[in-house]
Amino acid sequence: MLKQVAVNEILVKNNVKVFGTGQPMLFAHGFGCDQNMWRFIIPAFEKQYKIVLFDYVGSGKSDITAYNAEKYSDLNGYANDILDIVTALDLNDIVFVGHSVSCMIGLLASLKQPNRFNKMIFIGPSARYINDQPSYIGGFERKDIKELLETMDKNYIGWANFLAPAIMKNPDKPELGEELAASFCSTDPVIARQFAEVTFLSDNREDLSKLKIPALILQCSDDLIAPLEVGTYLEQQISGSTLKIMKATGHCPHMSAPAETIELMSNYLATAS
Amino acid sequence: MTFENEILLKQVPCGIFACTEDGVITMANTYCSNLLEYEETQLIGTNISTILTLSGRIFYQTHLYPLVKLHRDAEEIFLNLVTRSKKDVPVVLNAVLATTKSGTAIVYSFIPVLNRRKYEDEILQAKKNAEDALRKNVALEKIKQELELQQKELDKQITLLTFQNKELLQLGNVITHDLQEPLRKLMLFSHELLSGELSADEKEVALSAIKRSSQKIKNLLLNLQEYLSLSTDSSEKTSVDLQEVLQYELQQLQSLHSHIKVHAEIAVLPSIKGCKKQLHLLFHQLIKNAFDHGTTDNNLFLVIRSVIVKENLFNSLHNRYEYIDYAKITITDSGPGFDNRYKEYIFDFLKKLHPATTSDGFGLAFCIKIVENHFGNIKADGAVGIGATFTLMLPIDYVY
Repeated sequence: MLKQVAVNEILVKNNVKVFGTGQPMLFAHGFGCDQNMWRFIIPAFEKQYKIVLFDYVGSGKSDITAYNAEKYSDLNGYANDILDIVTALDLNDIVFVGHSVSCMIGLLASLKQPNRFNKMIFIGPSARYINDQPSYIGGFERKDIKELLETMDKNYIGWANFLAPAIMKNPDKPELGEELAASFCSTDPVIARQFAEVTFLSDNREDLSKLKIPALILQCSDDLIAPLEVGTYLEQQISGSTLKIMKATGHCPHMSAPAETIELMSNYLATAS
Repeated sequence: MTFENEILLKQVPCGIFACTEDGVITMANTYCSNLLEYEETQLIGTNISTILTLSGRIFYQTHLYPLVKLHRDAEEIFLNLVTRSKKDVPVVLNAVLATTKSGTAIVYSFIPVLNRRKYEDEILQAKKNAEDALRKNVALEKIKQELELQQKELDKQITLLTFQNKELLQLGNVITHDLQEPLRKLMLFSHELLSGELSADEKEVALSAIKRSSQKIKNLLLNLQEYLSLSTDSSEKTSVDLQEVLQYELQQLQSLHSHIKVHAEIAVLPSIKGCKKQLHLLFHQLIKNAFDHGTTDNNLFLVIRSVIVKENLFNSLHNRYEYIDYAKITITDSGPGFDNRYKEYIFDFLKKLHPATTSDGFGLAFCIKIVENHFGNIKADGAVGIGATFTLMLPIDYVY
């Protein structure tokens, strides 16, 4: 067991939020946002599950001083943070829900401590974003990713402004709590740039077949970042996985089509052994 | 609205367009269409990705859409739009999540910022030049590499030193306690013998006690000698197929314990770089441990799993990270298990949870020593009545 001081440190570092009781459901946000992106999904599960939310170091309200460029130069750095949270809260039998790059981060974490995890739900996952012809289609050419990173550099000045939106009151939007308004997806631009590089240059194809935990793959119909071929590839590589093609389009069905996302998740959780 | 105002609105000097949340464009004003080289209504029904560069599309999916959806608006976003003839147009853009009769729509307004981009390009170029200059500084680069190597060495040394300190403490215990007890018996019984006051039967008892104690000392010294030889072992590190090592040791132990029925589920183990002799001893001891402590009614249920994961090679230095491949191997028996309070204790010299067993209490000490020699680690987890799991983490190819 970890000492209470160490536990608190981890919970502050990753801005961990826990509520509800039952089997733990751990939500991991994707690149570019923070735990707020789950707020359309959570109400459907908080009565049955213990909801665990967090922000990656450098995102949302995490402790930015804990950022270490070396540690986070690899998705394993983020995966180890997830395991730290899991250990700090002593979570077992976890339903892991990841979006985008977090799917592979969750996969890496589950390979290290498989006994902690019960089911994996991957929303818009990709094992590798860059094509590796002829055997693999990831959706992008290397030059596209280079262009993206250049754009991020170019937008650096703008991004600093964009990614840390001013804290404001929202009298005209009472549905947004004050706390929410304070931290919309705010991310440090330098960290976002490195996260983008680590994400879009990652290649986890070899790790897929190591996963022995049941997995649901939610794939949008028209997802630029994770095209259909990627979903099919993942289903083939992960034994015991279920692929569901959603009616929803885009890369963020949990925000654009929460009802469909919730339905597919619930059905899977109800039927998967 | 007056007709006059409508005419004016049609000529506003900024681009305006609207999309569904799925990204389908439902409206685009004249300025927008003209700038992007489309006919007045041509953009309607197309996807927003039509007018975004590839990186702009990623940016839209990962940042802009989530922001507008959660925040209901976004301001001063710098993006590149792309015209019909594939020319980039840098724009600054505002967006708002609007409520319509049929649901929600995202409305965007933007103005091109061609000049601003020139300034930005210049600033970035200057920044890049400065970074390049730093990167190309050969001397600095060399020192950095040297520092890196030295830090790796330092990390190894600190780890080793920490381990050796623990070893010293344990050796001290052996000398002050475990060796003293049989020595005291030796002295006591030899003193009695020399006194000449013992009967023939008593002499017999004294002699056999002397024999037992001498044997105990001999065993202890032999084990210590073997243990210490692991520290000075300088044999070459080669690629060792752990699958072969495991199969061999399992067979050896099975033939020694023919009364035990083994039910094994064994994954494919990788090859790692290491000392073959030591790795044989490691697996011998771990499997022997399962034969000795993991059986129920002469049945040994053994599950051995292996997976390659990436972990930080630095053990002792904080804030240094380099991820390398490790073989993570778990050896689980479903025997009587042990109380998890003792999960560290059992690796110490001469520490046995079941004093009655014939093992000499050095097996797991050998294991931890060998694992340390290979810059890995080992841990045990037990639950009474459920079984025990030993987890090995061994670097696949850590040059040392």
